[in-house]
Amino acid sequence: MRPERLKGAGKRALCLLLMASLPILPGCWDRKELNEIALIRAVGIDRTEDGQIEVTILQAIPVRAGTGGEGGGGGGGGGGGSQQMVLSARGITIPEAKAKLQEKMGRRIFTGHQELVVLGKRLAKTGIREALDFFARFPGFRKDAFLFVTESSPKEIFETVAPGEPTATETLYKMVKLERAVDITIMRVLQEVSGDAEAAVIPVVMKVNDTTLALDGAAVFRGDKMVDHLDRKAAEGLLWIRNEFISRIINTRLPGERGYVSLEVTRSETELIPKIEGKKRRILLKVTAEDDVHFNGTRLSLYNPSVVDRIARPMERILRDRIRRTVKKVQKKSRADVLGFARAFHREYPEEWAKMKDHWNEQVFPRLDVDIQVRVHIRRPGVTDRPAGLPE
Amino acid sequence: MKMKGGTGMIERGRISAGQMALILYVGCVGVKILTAPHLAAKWAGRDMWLTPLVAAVSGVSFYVALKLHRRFPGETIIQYSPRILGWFGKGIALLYWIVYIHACSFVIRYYADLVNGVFLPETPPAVVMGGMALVCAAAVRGGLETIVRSAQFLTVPAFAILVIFTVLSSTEWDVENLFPILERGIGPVVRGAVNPSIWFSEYFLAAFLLPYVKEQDKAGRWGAVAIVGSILTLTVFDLISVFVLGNQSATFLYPLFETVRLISLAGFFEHIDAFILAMWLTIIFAKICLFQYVAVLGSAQWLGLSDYKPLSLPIAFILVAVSIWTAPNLSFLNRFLDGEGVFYSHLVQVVIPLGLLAVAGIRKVKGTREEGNAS
Repeated sequence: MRPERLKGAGKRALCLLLMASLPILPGCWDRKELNEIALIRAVGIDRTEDGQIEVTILQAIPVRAGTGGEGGGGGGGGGGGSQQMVLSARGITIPEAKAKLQEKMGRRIFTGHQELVVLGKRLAKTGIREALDFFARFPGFRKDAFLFVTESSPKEIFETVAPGEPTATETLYKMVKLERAVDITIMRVLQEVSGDAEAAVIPVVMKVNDTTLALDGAAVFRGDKMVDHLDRKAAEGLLWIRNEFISRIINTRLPGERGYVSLEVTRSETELIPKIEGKKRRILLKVTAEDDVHFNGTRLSLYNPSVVDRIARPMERILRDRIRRTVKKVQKKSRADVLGFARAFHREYPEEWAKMKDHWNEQVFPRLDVDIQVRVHIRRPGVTDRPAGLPE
Repeated sequence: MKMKGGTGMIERGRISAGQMALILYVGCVGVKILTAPHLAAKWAGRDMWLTPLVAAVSGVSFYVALKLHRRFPGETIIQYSPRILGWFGKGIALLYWIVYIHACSFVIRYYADLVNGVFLPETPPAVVMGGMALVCAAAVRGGLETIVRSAQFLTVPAFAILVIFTVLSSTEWDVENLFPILERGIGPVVRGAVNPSIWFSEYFLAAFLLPYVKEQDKAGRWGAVAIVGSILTLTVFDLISVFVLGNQSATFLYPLFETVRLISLAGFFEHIDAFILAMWLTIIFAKICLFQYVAVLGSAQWLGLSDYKPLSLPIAFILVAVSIWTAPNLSFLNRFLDGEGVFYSHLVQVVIPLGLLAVAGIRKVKGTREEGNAS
């Protein structure tokens, strides 16, 4: 081949090559147009009484511009001003139920913007492994979706739309973002269920009335099965121990004073210090909390350091009692180490851990001696010195 | 080689030692950054970030290639192995051609499985593979310089962005996942290093690039830079995977993607996984180009052709076909590259070259060509 001929042929071949690659490279084969997909914001999974799986989806309906503002108070009930559609279907497995859902819809189910997963209580009690596997395996699911458990059915939760919100997920999602609930994502639960302790917590959501949802403590899982339901206060203690802080108002009374002082815990950090002495295994919880004063019902000036101290001590007691109650409950009743103790022991005593890991939740964890140390620092007593509204 | 024209250098392009290092580096870490933590974590668990360090021993293949190159300057292994072993050497040269076709098919397959498995489930795999192979064929036609230049142009920013994005996941980091270190001793780490060592042994590809390096004296040093760079890169990605995914690193096939998908900054900077794919595409493009180039150049040299460019398109077609045949599914591929594959790759890229070197030493065969001489 002479060089010049080669050059011409080469150029032509190159052109052909590039043209041939054009239709396949942009990835149009799998295009997903917005008007062909159903945007799923939340998925609910429950087990029916006859053992089938019920999958409920919440589809967001994008509204036309201009109609959004009008229906201000008219939300709720799945119709009217709400911009969502709730559908459910049953099947032996989750994918089967999902396929049945798809049969009822003209648009393709698209889970790329899914933010919430609500699990029914019956499913939680019988095991969530299947659901977790489905969420982990299917690439279209985001692993950072938040998980909730509910006593009622996921369908009821999805149909509870707060006035002013387009969908029910909006409320729940905002709750998580406000740190009212911990952000327990699919990934977190996957890690915890297969972690050292083989135990996880998932916040519980309940329906208060037709337009209101509220958080109702947390569900404790041993392995993949829900074994206990912690009430709101115990769940709070749990969050403190797990270092997943949520801000909470705590009222306290001072000895010898009338009226309450309200404090908000703004930061809190817990250190777990495990110790093995011979046969005895103990763990020390060192909690350091920072508080802001929100309300002062006493007659004391908070700019007096000794008064600040007088507030801090009862606070420490309250926190300690709360944490102790939680620990006791989880140790004795749930018997599932959702507190991260297993990890602490594994980290500090890898060799001993190997011996106790097989019967951790059954024998070791319920019998651990737990010491609790709480230290409260009051950082911001507010912008007033003396209690407001008092005569001089 | 007796054939006329075969004695000439059919690659006219010249690259710098740094460019060679870059393309070898991409060749080593390209697939690995995406899949590595998965296979390493299966064995080494939270200690997987130590596996690249162990696996880097296989980077010795680069120095074997360098040694051979010093003996036979200006030639690739396809050319000097017949010189060493006669007709048997010609057979060995053919083996290398087949091996690199095979290796390239793995890379294309990994790429296609990711794109098909995660992003474009309905596109036929042959289309995904074919698209990539065609683009790479165009690049290979352009020659070695085109390949390294485009690698330079595309992969350097891509790596920078990948690293930045992965670091953005720091809000999700749990450094305690790292402890206790080496709980079960060094054994699992060595076992976990099996898969990365395969990619490290691919530094032997230098045997095809060294003849075209301008600054011969710097080649060895740059090779070391590339190997150290690969160790660091893989360690960083492994560490981040441990931090973010913890015990789930072994669960997900593409830990880097799962990590990136968890990124959410200030509530609006999220859902960036597709962007990461775009970045990774440029890296995998460079990697496939390198392998495809070696296959094309090797075949031209083996046949004694005066030009390798006309072969680039036919070989792209062969590659697509081989990629489809090479493994029934991803788990087979992963199993192979986490087990038997280690013997295969080290036999071809370390043991046989060492044997060639030894025979060349005993039979006192030497290259006849002037160094860096383009004819």
